[in-house]
Amino acid sequence: MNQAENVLIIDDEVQIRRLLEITLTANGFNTFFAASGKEGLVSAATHNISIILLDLGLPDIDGLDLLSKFREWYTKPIIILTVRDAEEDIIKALDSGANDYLTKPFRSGELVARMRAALRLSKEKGDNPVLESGSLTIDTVSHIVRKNGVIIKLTTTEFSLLALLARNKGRVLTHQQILKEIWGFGYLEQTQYLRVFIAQLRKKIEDDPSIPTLLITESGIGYRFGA
Amino acid sequence: MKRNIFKSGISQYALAVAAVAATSAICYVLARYLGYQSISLILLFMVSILATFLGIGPVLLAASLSAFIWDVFFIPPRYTIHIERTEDILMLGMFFIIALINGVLTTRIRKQERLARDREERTNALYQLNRNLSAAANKAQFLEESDKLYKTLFNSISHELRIPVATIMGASDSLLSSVHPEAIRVELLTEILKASERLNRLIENLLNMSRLEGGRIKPRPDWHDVHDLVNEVCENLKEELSRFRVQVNIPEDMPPVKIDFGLMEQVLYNLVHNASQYAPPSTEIGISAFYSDGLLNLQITDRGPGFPENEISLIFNKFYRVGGSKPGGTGLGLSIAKGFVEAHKGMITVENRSDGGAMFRISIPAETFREDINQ
Repeated sequence: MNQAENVLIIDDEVQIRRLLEITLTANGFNTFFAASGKEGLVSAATHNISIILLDLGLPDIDGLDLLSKFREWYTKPIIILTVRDAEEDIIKALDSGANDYLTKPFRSGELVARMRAALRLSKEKGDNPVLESGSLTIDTVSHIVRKNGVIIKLTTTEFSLLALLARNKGRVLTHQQILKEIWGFGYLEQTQYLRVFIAQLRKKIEDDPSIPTLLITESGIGYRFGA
Repeated sequence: MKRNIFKSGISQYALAVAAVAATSAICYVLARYLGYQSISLILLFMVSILATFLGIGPVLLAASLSAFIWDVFFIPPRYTIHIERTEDILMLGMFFIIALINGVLTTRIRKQERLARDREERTNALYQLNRNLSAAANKAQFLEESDKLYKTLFNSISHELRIPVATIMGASDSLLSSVHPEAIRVELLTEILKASERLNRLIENLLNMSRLEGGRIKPRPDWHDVHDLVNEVCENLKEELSRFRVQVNIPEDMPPVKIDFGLMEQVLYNLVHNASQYAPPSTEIGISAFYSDGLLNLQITDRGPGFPENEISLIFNKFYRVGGSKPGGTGLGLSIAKGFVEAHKGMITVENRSDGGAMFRISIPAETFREDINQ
């Protein structure tokens, strides 16, 4: 990272803020803080913020509402921080434009990795027709997928699914987002389609389909394409 | 109550005299219309009534007095003691005797009745006392038992909470107060991380337990790949499982099943974690899954010490810990696993393997999806 990125942390817990400040500063970020939703909105508008860490449990405003407010004008990555067992909220947040989520307590290494992935993703122009990940190359123009140079035969749906996840490398896509994108609005409840196709894809592209490293399950939430 | 009012002898005698006087006065008026024989019956009736609530003495007095009054005021010739007709003498004698017998018998019956009542009251009192005593004994026993349970719970939880907190405080304090070589620093920091994870796991279990107790566990099944379930658990227990040979066995054609991923993940996590705590290092921990007849079956096997046969029915009980268990653990993990499996309307059983170790079997009814989807 050439230039330090500005990160805005919106969280009302002093200890968590301090911890994030230490961790993120050590990892080359400039940190800005807000203890409430209102402060957060002001701070994001006045500083050139590259990425926001948003805690869903804020004192003054519902985190999901705040997220929608941000998404009216803020296009850069927002990562949600929340407590465990809040799957519904996580899904809602991802569906309303959050880029990623982390459940508290989390490891700081994991946080920094997710932030870097989100930042990288937001900066990619997305016009590169060839997506690469380890031994896998996906040519989105010719629809050819190679693993270690060997062409892998995929059905149309399998290819669309793989390309969608690979384009969003490192980012969680919810079941609904994937179903909507690949099968259309009529299939939002058909998660079993997704299970079947992911299982088929894993057999074709993973080194060991039972321990996937490319198509990673985010339990109860969705899938993420691993690096 | 009545007995109390007439307790004093004098008032009883006074009442007897008054009653006789009053009745006689009424009879004196009635004598104009009635024969003197009928008057004797009225007097006798009055004496009988008195006998039902007065003592023997006052009744005797009333009987004698009314016999005398009947003789003097009603039997002809009136206003004399003298009786002309022989049959009237006979009737007076009989009146006196009947009044007496009546009085004595009624009093005796009443006395027996009172004795019986007293006996009954005593029996009742004894019964009540006995009941109170046994209730008290039961309550004492209950209190003692719940007290014991509470203490066990309190001890294990406070121990489980304190140990990691003590580790975190001690290690961070040491890091703050003295300069350590890098290797020691890393070790202390690793201990802090481990203790925090342990604390987090305990909190998770306590929260789950209270959700179960509150009946707030409602499975929300969705389609899931059993591989994902097993992978997630193995990933979360990576460190614990690194000391074992983990054998995962899931058929190639295992269909997606409709389950609540979060709940089943917790079930599998608790069982595998349990195995990793008790089995000796480098032994095999097996996780297998198969689908048959509408049931998703999971089996978790280990080569640990197994369970004492006489305690095997108790191990799913809340806070139950097998005798001689190593320290650490609250006795919550298995009971949460059971609660979550039952929330899926499933069953969990455990048995000792013939060649050593324990085997947990879970089967839960789960929809499946076998239809091939093409494009």
